[in-house]
This record gives sequence, structure tokens and C-alpha cells, in this order.
Amino acid sequence: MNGTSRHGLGVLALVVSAGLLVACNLDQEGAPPPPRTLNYPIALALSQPAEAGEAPRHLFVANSNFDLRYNTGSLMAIDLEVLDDLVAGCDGNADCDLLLEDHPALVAAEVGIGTHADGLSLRSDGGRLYLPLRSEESLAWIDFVDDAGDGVSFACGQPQEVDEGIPRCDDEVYVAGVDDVENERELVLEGDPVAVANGRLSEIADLPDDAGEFVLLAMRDGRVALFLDEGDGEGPRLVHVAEGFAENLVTVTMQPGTGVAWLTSSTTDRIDRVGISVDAANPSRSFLYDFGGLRVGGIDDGEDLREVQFLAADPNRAFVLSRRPEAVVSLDLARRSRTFGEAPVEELYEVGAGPSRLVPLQIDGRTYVLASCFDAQKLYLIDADTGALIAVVGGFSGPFELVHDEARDRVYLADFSTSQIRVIDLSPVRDDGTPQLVATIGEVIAAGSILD
Amino acid sequence: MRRLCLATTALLALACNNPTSPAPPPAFDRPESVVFFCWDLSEAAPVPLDQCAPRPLEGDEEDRAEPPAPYALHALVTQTSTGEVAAVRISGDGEEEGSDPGVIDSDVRVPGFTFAAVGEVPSAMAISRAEPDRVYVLSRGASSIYAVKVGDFRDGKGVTAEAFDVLPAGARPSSMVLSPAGDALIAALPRRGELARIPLLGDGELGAAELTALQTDVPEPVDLTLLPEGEQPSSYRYTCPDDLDPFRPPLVPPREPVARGDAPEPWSLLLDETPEEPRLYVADRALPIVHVIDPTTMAELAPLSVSVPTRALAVTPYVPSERYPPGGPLPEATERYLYAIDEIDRSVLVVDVSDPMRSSYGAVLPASVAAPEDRLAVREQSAGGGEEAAEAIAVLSPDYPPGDEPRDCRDPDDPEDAASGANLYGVFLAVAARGGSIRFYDVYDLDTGCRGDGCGANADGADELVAIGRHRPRLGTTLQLDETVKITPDPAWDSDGAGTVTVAEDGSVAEARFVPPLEPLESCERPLEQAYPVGPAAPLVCAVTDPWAAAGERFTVAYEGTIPFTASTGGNFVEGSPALDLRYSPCALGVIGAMDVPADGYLAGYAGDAIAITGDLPPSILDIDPDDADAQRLLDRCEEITGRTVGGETTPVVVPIERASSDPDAGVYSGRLELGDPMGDATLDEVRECFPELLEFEIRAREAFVVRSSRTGFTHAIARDDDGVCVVDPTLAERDLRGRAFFDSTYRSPAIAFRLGPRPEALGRPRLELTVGDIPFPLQIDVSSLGSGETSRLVTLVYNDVDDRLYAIDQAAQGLVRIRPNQPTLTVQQVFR
Repeated sequence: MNGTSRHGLGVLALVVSAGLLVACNLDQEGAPPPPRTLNYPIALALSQPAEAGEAPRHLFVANSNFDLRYNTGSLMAIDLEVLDDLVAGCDGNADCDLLLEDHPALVAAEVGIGTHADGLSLRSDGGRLYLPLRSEESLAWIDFVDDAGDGVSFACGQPQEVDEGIPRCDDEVYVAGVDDVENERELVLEGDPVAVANGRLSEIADLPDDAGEFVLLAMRDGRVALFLDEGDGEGPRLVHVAEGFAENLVTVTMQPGTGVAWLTSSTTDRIDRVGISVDAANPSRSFLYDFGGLRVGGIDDGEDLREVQFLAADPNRAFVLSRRPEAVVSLDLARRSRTFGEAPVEELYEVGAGPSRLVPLQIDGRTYVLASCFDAQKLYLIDADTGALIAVVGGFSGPFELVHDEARDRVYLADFSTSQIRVIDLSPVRDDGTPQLVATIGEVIAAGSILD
Repeated sequence: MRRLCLATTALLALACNNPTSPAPPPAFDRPESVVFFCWDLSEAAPVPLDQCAPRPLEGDEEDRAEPPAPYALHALVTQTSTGEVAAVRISGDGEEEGSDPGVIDSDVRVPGFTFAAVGEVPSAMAISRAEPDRVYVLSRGASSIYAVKVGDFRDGKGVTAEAFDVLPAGARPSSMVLSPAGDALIAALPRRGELARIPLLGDGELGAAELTALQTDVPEPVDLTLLPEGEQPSSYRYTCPDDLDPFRPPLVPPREPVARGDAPEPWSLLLDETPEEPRLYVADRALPIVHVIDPTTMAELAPLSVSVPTRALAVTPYVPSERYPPGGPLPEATERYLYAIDEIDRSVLVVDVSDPMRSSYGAVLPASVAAPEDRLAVREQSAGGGEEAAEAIAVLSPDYPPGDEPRDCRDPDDPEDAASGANLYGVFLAVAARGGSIRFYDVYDLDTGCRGDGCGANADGADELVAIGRHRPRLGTTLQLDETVKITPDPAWDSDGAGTVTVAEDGSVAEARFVPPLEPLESCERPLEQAYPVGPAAPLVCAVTDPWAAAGERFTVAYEGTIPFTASTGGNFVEGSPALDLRYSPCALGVIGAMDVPADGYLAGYAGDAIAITGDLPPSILDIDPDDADAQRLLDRCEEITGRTVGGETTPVVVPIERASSDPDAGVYSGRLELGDPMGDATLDEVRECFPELLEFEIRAREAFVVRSSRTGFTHAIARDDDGVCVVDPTLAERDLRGRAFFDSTYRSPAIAFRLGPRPEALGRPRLELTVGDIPFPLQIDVSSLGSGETSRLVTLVYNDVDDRLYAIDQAAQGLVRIRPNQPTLTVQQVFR
């Protein structure tokens, strides 16, 4: 049985378990998530630093509520300066378990957002977060308010206060349906949203810097929705939905400096690309179009691709995470492939079973790629300049999403299966060492505990 | 898996409150390298590897390369993901308890299989062939070397590896070999551009590393075209019938050296103990040289200048330049070759390393009849399609050199045992491809005396047509004389007016009013040869029929056909200019405008390409206020221009391209077309007015045919000049990269040639299909087809000359794959995972 099958069975078993529990009492409204509870974290993002080059202050965590234990998932802001102090206090001890109950200051803000979020993206000015929400079949938007001196908070309509639980965003923050459509196209947002990406309109069109943001929402069935967010206090408005891309979409990633997003699918070796055509005179008439796909050919067989990431330092270098075979595939975009329509595959690097997410990064001028492997329960570090796997970090249960905190030389990793956030120190890599797990945030919530 | 266990536990708790779940057994986890040792079962100790040489077969016994009692062949395999080395028993008949081949549990006290922990990402191993007491394991992740007692793998009490931090910090070593005297390890340090020699002090102790910096000078490559004929490398081949005269790979000048950096990056090491003075070859991933080192003194000798950086090497034993005569003996073996994987495009090149005193020593040899001539031909695409990039190479030499006894031809009536393309005796190159296949190339075949009905003794009657050539793909099937490469089925037009029209052997067509005939060519000009018709008639179609180079492909010749990949919905008319902005580079796709057609060459006189607007009128034109008279007038005119019917069908509006250009720095709109007046009575302004939004269009050849191959696509010599304009690149044009064909003209490309007759009177958009068929299959093993749908990633090929088996490591699925090269035929013998 390969990793994908095991993963699928695992998910099926969990859903069946959860379904059995839900079936016991369908009429109840369910319990709200208690404060400071990580529950199947699915997506991470770092806050915008106050000044360029400074360290980000917060780590945003989208809790998916995957097991339906509560009546909603949540969005949480972890205070990284508090974390810094706690990690320093652990003095390099790998058993640095930081229970949120014991360290309430770690959670700077949190709010209920609906169940089964599947991504998280920060607006370019750092003031708003976008989440694909599968339970609502919509795009959620939540403002992040930093009241200097008075702490931080999430603003999302009129949050409903809940007894013994965290407040929950009201439905205004879910964008769907005719009411939220900007133009006369009478679009309706349907389908299972799985990924989100965004950027400034001024980066892809001849528009001023304050023209607002574009947001792309990828749906599992091969559709992509375009939203425009003018940043005027209103939410994003749906302006176009493009169809016909590969089914079973997994991620959407903007290619830096272009108005083109790359889409990965778990059932094809083709990376579809969607272009954004911005009508500068009337942005609401902007639309998406098929930019053409690239096939990851010449490998066996590439028909399950999980993510594409571009190297910030070199726009001609991209990395694709493949599950067939389980490998990181590097692309040299400056090199023309021998066959048009083929991705210019440069190198393959082995990773473990169930590769899920990847992050390219640079340390001391060298290019590395980190890949989380859910089924292998490990994190793989590849030196893309030397051209080889150089470290494997174990000790996780279900490693999934990860973000790189360059200023702190760290990676934050969502350990989905145990509902924890792992803090991994990358500084040993500078001295030929292996990344080290330096702290774990949150209490283990395993599937068994849903029987409690 | 973790979640599966958790969920399973939860469900069991519901049922019977028994939360136990079995631990999954350990297995290979991203294996990478392999070495071998021989184990004395009676003494429970490692013995010299040669002790595991196979015993003679008895009667009709299957050749499983079983060593004599009490020996058993073993392998050690690194596990990069877990930082371990696994031991595997390779041989064993399974008849007695404990004699089964398979993965060995190194600690029976622990449930499941236990392997030896050897540090982060073990990447290479070294073990003495004669005194295999210890294996040394190179840890790429920890930049350390671990020493492990080989006996520990078999005693079941666990394995302890001793770590030696003798390498410089941050070195990230990549490869390691044992010195010829067995007194030191030699490791490659790519980050430092150095080699490290680590003395073995006895009792498993390692001394401090002595570092050797590699040189950076790049000598001029040897140019074979400048050598007199008498100094050219030998060109060995065997064909049957002997008048079969396939085209020889032409001599070409060496490539201009290309480097990937300024400093050396030694990546893989190849110890060559064949010459009297051993040599260490070092593949350099940055510099276009192969370093040559004296492994005793670590002095660097003159490097081989191969024009490109390389990542893997393999060397042949000395082989004769003449055919092995039936019955032997072996002629004097004077030739030897170094194969290397090109780091840039992962092709395989071959270098003459026969004799440093020869003027051809160090030259990259011609190996293909078609470009690139200085690379081994790749006949097939990978199993999944796409580029067939090489990942690993190995030279295998089963039964070589042959003994003094005359070789027999085995049983020609037994298809599995008879000499054939799939039965390897001699010297061959194996190339593992990224897509999961292993292909083979001939170096020296000991079976030529048994091949070819009418040529060899006792040959299989079905084996009529034989072609064996040094560095050429090994053909794996028996061929009949009438199975030569040709156009099959007969060329045929697909025409709107007349349906399918077959081209007769004299080139004529039955429906000459609709489609042009093919006209005879004066000659084919090698490497092309007559492919249609077969026989004495004048050639109508020429193609590559060389059995080693011919490729099955279909050519489509479409009048005013669409240039591939130009169909788009992303065109945008430029405000105030007769131009259209595109979201791709038209130069890269082979588009050229009328203004930039060259005055000479095959495109001289060409009218330039054209865009065809294929989309319907946009909503802003169609969805109008019925009371808006101006809008209605515009709609009426647009419908007239597009021939729009009530049902919404339109006729494409064709607009000639005056100039095509591209600007990679222009952002999303990287291409631009300057347009002329549309065909028909509309003006360009009217067309622009009808299509105010993004345009759905494609680019077509105008009054010309678009020629497209199913294998290589649309080839062209168009490139972007310094001003960004799409023009014909003279260098590419010299290679006959042609994508357009014309009436009354000969079309010639590196793959096919034909001549179209005059323009027919009732011309639609006919399409001619030419399929090159009856291609002999190259010998290949597809590891990706083993198992049930699991994907493969081949990373290593190793030939073990003790058991005459080729070993492949499939990192993704199959693990260690043991391949038998002959008797009965090339086949996968075992898989260990």
C-alpha cells in the first residue's frame, strides 16, 4: 500500500469515526472550541513585519476542526515574541512542550471562522487574511487589527460571543452568491474551495499601489474564482470564475512578477496556469483566462502534484512537490524544454511518503528546500545547490503546512494529526548541522480523544 | 499512517476496548547505494567476494548465480530517509530453513527488521573486495564516515557503527571509494572543490583527512575533425547481411566548453583499476572536465576536456576493435571508453580513453547519426513521455573476457536461449532513465558469430537482419529482411473535398483537383534514406531508416495549419497601434512576419504567418440595447465581417502578420504582433472595433503547409534577435530545422524529406500524413512496470562482476532490483525492498 492510499484510508477512518459521533445527536448545535485550543491546524501564515527586515510578530494558524469535535474551526494569532522567550527558557531542550493552557500569552487573538478551512493567505498590507472555507463553500476574509499598545484582535463583522468559547465571526465574512458579485456577470460561487492566493493589483496591471488586491480561490473541481478587494473596509468582490482546469486541484501559487498562477492537481502530471487579465479602466470587468499548462514529463509518472513554489531570490527557479514519485522536482524556467508544453525539469530529489507541502529558502546564500511528508512523519531538507538530500527530521505525527521565519532562522510546522505547532530551528544548518526541533506548541489531540 | 492507526484505535475502542495495533514492519526507505560482500555460512564470517562466484550449473538447472556451499552473496544498501544501512541476502535456494534470500534482521531481539544506524543521509559505501571485515559509510548529512563491522549484520545482536568526524565541517561529501591498495578512503567534497584521502589505520580506525584541491584549468577539447583518418578511433560494427550499410555517425567538432561555475564540484568518483597504473576519474558538476587522479599519490593528471560538466561515470574494460570471431580467440583488446552523464541536459557522452599516447585520447566520440551526434542516441521517450534524462550508468561485462574454450551458440531452436538482441554476452552500457527504464548500448558482443541467418553459425532462422554497433542502442528483437524501416501505411491526404486520398508509388493522387501529388526526389542525402516507396522506384519520401536511429513517428503536413501552441484567448489589441499583444513569445513558437522573411533560404518568398480570430464576437458587441442604433449598426457590420450565422457560428477573420516580436521583460504581455490588412473587405480598424475585449485566436501558416512531428513537434529556426524581433537564426537554419513546406518545393529536415507538387485548383485545407514504421525495438527494461502501479525513481546502477548481475536501485518503489543479463534472456531476477 503506498503512502497516498494509507493517507486516504486514514482520512476515511477518521471521517467515519467523526460521522459516527455526529450521528449520535444531530440536533445539538455543538460545543464551541474552548479558548486557546489548537484543533487540526491546516494552514499557517506569518504576519507582516512592522518594518522591512524585521521579524514578524505573529504566526497565524487556521484550525480546521477536521474531526468536527467543535461547532467551528478557528483562526489564531500566536505571539512570536512570547514564543521567543519561552523557547529561550527551554535552553535547547527538545522536550520544550508549550501547552497553551500554561502559557495563555502565546495566543494573542483568536476567533471562530467555520469548519474545514483549507488555506490561509495574508493581504499585501498585512491587514487582512483570506481563507478558503469548505464548510461554507466560500472565501472568508478577516481583518487583523494591531492596536499598538492595546494588543491585537481579529475583526470579522459582529462576532457572536459564545459562552465558554471563543467568539465566532458572523456570516458577513463569507463571500458567496449573487450579493457579492461585482458586475453583471451574475456569478455564483459553487464548489469545494481548497486553496487561496493573492497579490497587489498594481503588481500585474498599470494601476496605483492603492488600487487594492486580487484574490484567487481554487476549487477542487477545476474552477478558479477571481475576487477584487479594494481595501475600502468592504470585503472582496467576486468578479469572475474560470472553469476547465484540472480536477482535484490542491494548491494555487502566484508566479512572482506575473499575473499568472500555477495550479497543482492530485490526478494529473500537468500544472495548469491561470492568467489574470485586469481591466485597468474598469477592474470589475477583469477576468481569468487559461494561460496554458506545463506537463511535468520524463518521470514516472508525475500524476499527483501537490504544490509549486518559486524561489524568491531567483524567479527562474521553481520547485514542484510530486507524489508519483515522492520527490521534489526542480524546474529551471530559464531553460527551454526540448518539447514545448513540457516543464523544464532540472533535478529530482527524494523525499518520504506522502509529501504534502514545501518551502524553498536560502541560508547563507545557499538554496534549500524543506518538504513535509505526512505519511513518513518527517521533514526533508534538500540542498538544491549541492543537489542532494542532506537531512531528515523526524519526531512528528502528521507534518503538513510549514512557513519559514527567515528573521528567526526558524520553520513553523503544523503537525496536523496531533493538533500541534512544531518550532524548528534552522540555524544548525549554517554549521553543517541538522534542523532541530526546539519547541512544540499545544496539547496532543489525537483521534482517540474524540471519544471523550 | 499515523492517522490510520489512531482512527483504527478509536474504532476498536468502540468495539472491544482493545487499543493495540501492530507496528508496521520496517522496509527500505529511500535506498541510494549498494555494495556487496560474501558470507561464509559455516564460519559465520565475511570472506573475499570472489568466493561467491557462481558454481557450475547442473543439467537444466536455471542460472540463478548461486555460489558454492557454504557461501552466500550479500548486499548492503543505504537507507537515506532513516539514516541506516540494510543487509540483504542475495543468493540462496530457500530449500533449507534460513536459506531464503531477503532482507536481514540485524537485531532479532527487536520486533520487525532492524538495520544499522549510520548517521544522517548515508550516500556512499566502500568495502574491501579481499578483506571485507568492515564497511565504511559516508554520511552526506553529517559530513562523517561511519565504520561498521560486517559480521555484525549477520549475528542478530544489533549493529554498532563507529563515527569518525575526519572530514571538514560543512563538506557535504557526495561519493567515496576505497584506494587500490585498500589503505585509504577517498571522498569527493563538492562544496570545497576538493578530494579527501582518509588513511585506514587498522582495526577500523581512520586517520585525519588529507585534502587535495582540484584544478580549474580547462584545456581545449580534442577535435576529431582535425585528425587524419589513420588516427581516428576505430568504428566497430557488425551487420547481417553484410552489405547492410547503415550510416556512420559523422565526425563533428567539439562543443564550446560550458561551465556551471568557476570552482570545481567533484560529484562522483570512478576508480579504474584496469590499467597498470590505476586511475581515479572524477565527474565535475561545475567544470567541463573529468579530473584524472593518480589514487596512490593523489596527484592530478591532465584532465579529460569534455565540454560539459558531468555527474556520473562508467568505464569499459579494454575491448578489441575487431569482431569476435566465431569460436574465438579474443583479438587483442586495445580500445576502452569512458561514458559520462552530461550534467546540463542528462544526455550520455562517450570519451576515448584507450591510450594516452593516441591523438584521439580524451575526445568525445560521435555516437549518433542525427543531432546531437556527440551523444548516445535515445530512441524512445520515457515511459510517461517527455524527456528521457539519464540518472545513472553502468558498464556490464557478462562472460567478458571469454575463456580459452570456444564459445558455442547455445540452442538456436530455443527462442529464449538462442543468441539474440535480448541475450547479453560481452560488454554493454546500461543507462537508467529518470522515467524508470533501463536501456542498453552495444560495446562488444561476443555473440556476433551466432547472429544473423546466413551470416552466423547456428543462428536462429528468424534472426535475419542484425545491426550491432559500438555506442549504438542495442536492438532487442529478431528482425526479418522485409522488416526494414519505411513509411507505413502508404502516405495519404485527408481533404475536405475528396476525403482520404492515398499517394500512389509514383507520387500521383486520384483527386488531383483537391490535393497535390508528391514528386520524386533526386536523392535522399544521408542520413536520410528512401522510405517510400520501398523498391527500385524513385524516392518520394526519405526518412531516417538507420536501425539504431530510426524513430517511430507520424508527420502531419497541414495546409495553412495552426502553428502548435499559438491558440490563445489572451490577445489584446494595442491602443492606437496596428498591433496585438500576446501572453507568450511568438519567437519561441516559431512565428515570423512578412517583413522578416529572409531573402534566401527555404523561407525566401514566404508571405509570413497570419492570425485567425476564431472566437465569437464578445458580449459587449452582441448584448446591446435594441434601441441603440449605433450599437446595432456595429453589430451588423461585425456579423458581416465574421460571417456570423443565426446559430452563432463564425468564419475566422484572418489578418496577416507583418512582424512578430517578444520582450521577456515586458511582464505578462511578452509578445507582440504587428498586423497588416485583414483578408477580405474589412479594415483592421473595423476588426478592432468588433473585438474590443481579449481576443480568441490562433496563428497559422499562410499559403504554406505546417509540418509537425508526433515526436519532435513543430521544429523551426526562428529566434528572437537583439531587438526582440522574430527572425531566422542562421545557426539553427543550418541544421535544417524547418516547420513549413510549400507547393513545388522540396521539404527537408533532419528526419524526413519529400517534395510537394503544384497547387491544386480546388484547394481547401488538406492534410498529409506520413508515418515512419516497422522500427526495430531497442532493448530496454522498464522497472516502472514492475509491481502494481507504483511509481519508480531509478538512482543507481551497479554491475557486480562476481555474479554477472546488474543491480538497479529504485528509490521510490522496487528497492534493489537484480537483473540477469542472459540465459535465458535479459530479465529481472529478484527484487528486494
